[in-house]
Amino acid sequence: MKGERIWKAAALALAVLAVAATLNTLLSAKRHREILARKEADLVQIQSHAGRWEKEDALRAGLEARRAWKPANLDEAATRTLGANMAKITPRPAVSAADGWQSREVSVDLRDVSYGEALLFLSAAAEVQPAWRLREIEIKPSAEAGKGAMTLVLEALEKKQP
Amino acid sequence: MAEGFKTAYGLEVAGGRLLLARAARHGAVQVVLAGAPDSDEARRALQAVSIEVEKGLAALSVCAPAVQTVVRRLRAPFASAKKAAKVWPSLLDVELPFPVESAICIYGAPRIEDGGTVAVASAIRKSDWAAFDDGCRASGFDPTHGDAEALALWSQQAVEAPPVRGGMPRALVWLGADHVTVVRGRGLDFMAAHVLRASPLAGDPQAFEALWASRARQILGAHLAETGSAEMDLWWAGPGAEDEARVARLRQMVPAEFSIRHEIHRQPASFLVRALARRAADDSGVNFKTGERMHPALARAQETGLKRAYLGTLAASVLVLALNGGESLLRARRVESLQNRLTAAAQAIAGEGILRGQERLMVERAISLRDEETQPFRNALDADGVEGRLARVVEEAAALGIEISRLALSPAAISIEGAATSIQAVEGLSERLRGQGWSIQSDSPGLTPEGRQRFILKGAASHEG
Repeated sequence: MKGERIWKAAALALAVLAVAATLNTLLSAKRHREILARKEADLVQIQSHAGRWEKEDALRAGLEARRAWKPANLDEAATRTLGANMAKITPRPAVSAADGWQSREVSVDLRDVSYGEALLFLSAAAEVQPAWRLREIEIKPSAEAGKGAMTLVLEALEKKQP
Repeated sequence: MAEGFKTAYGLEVAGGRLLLARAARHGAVQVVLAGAPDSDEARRALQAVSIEVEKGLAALSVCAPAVQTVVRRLRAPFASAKKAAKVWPSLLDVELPFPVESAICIYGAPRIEDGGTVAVASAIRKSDWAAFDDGCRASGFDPTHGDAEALALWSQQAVEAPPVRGGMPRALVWLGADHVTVVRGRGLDFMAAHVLRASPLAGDPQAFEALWASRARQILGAHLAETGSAEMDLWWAGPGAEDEARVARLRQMVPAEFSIRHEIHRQPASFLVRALARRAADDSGVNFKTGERMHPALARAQETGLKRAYLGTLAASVLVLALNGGESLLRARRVESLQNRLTAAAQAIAGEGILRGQERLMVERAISLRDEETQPFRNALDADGVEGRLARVVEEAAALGIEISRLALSPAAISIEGAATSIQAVEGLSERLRGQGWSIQSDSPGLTPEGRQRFILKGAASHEG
């Protein structure tokens, strides 16, 4: 009799456990699907950013491969293209960029230069990699026709030579 | 049939004759012995059956004494089997010649009929059963089943001669060795049973025939009246029905005004033992030998059955638990696999230290930071740049004959002052600048001393700066 009770109790307990486990499996199925769907969506979203900075990385790698750590010397370029003391070059605080590089900005004031001379100066500044790129320009009229006072803001990448 | 039995035997010892029939679970019923109870063959057969019974391999069914057994059709006046079950003892009590408490009562499956509940009850006094059971053991056999004769006969009638018409009244006369039983009903439905404590095979045949003539009129007349029918089928069975002349004499005593079709069952003597064996085999019979009176082999078989049921439940539960465990494991692996891919993808963008569940947020933050850090590189990569925009502005102005006296240009804003040959030229320049992605507002403050149109154009970038 005692043995039968033990069998009965064990069968009942396991049956209850089995039912509970089955209920848990059934009831949690929807949540499981939701978790999978959310993670799938997150994965797709994250994977969509793959290669996002491919071009930037390629540029950086190229510069580093060529050991092109610093842009052209603007004083030299100005002297070469505009003559001595024609440009007032004022560096601005550098801002750190990716992977140890910096973004350097300078303000260049040119007085009474022709547009052609200004273009020559910009070309000379862009000759050396990393190139100086024009970010802002302001041209004011001058008394002499074909000339003007210009304020240029130039930007270039730079990295301290490792 | 009780769990564990593959074979069932039906046994009848009466009138100095022993009949033994065997029914296999899925086979026909066969009469295995018909002979004198005290013969060696009978003893051997009973011994062999007893061994099978003790081993739990077979059931042995006998009939409770018909004269001590009461079988009644009960009707409760409500259509609820559950409620009816509570009143069956009370309804049966008034039908019994002894208190219901002193009897073993067995109620058949209830059936809802005409707004009421109907069931067939069988009862035998406990003391009568005990005496009968002791007698069986003293005779050399210990039955596992004690059936009700009338119900066994009625069910065998349905098996061997199923009714052609469902509502047709029919009856069976069992000419036993020491009694006669008349069972009557309609179609398959049992209605009543009557036992005559006399037999054409025992005592004075003329006295029996007189009794039969009187009782047949009462019983069959009542049956036709109760069923509202003018005709009925009457079947004959039992050892007394082996003699066709005897049956013919008894038939003649049935009132001629009753329209009755008579038939004799084949192998009429073993009709009851075949019924007993079949009913024990398919567990469809009545068994007075239950509870504390249960045969030990049957009790063991039931215990084994219960144990098997528990084991089955245990095994099924373990299987279900294993399946659930497997499913959980599978789910966990699926999530983990996806999580690993997600973490790897997030780490490729945001680096180490990705918190689980925060991948997207951390990646978005990393992207925002990285976008900011790589902006100078994008500026450097911009093939057009501010230089290109400046060149296009100067070209457009030159093409329209516009003289620029002041110009300010950045990725986000543009401002041009100058003079043009006409207001249309200024509008033309405005349009072209809009075409290059600038949102332009123009002003024309008047003419220069030379008569040219002064203008001021200011705009903000509507393109990406």
